[in-house]
Amino acid sequence: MTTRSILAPVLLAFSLALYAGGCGSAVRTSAQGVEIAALSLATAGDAISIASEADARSTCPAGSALECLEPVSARWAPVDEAFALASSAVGAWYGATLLASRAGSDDLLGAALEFASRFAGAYAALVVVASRAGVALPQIPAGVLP
Amino acid sequence: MMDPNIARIVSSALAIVAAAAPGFLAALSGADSDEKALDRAADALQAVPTNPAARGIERWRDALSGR
Repeated sequence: MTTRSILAPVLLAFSLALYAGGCGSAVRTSAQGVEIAALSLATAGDAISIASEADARSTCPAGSALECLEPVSARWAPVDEAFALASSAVGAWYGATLLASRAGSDDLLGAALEFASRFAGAYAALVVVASRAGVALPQIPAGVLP
Repeated sequence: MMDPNIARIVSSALAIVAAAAPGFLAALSGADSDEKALDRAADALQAVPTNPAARGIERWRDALSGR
């Protein structure tokens, strides 16, 4: 596991906590949370990509027919689906934050908090699905979620 | 007034970050305005890959097919 992936849970935890109570304006705090959540997700994506390629290589060594990769793709499809849900949630979190900024109203950040919570749930689901595929993604430490 | 639970969450997360990634807190403070923070968030989102598992398999598919 790389240093970046080891740091991911820390960044993720901090992003959620930062949004929940942090410093500076609410919009800035939420945007910083989005940034860190996105960095964590990108790191997870890197780990998933490397692991799926390694699985493909070991399952279908050089000289194998391309059809050999079909079960590998099927095995990894749920991981990409879970990843897409987490990615969508953090994108929506950013959108809600941007909207609140443009409207000049912190009241709209309630939606951002909702999407932040969805991201946390989607990421936790991604961790479970990825573990079934043999990838140990960092988890959100217990007690950190708002 | 900050909710006590939120305060607990923040302090515990800060402790974790301080222990594991002391330089990270300084990096975060680089966003000193809403606009800058939003720009950085947008940049970070751009770096999130799509279908990372499929892409990894695709790399090996390309190698197998000689592309």
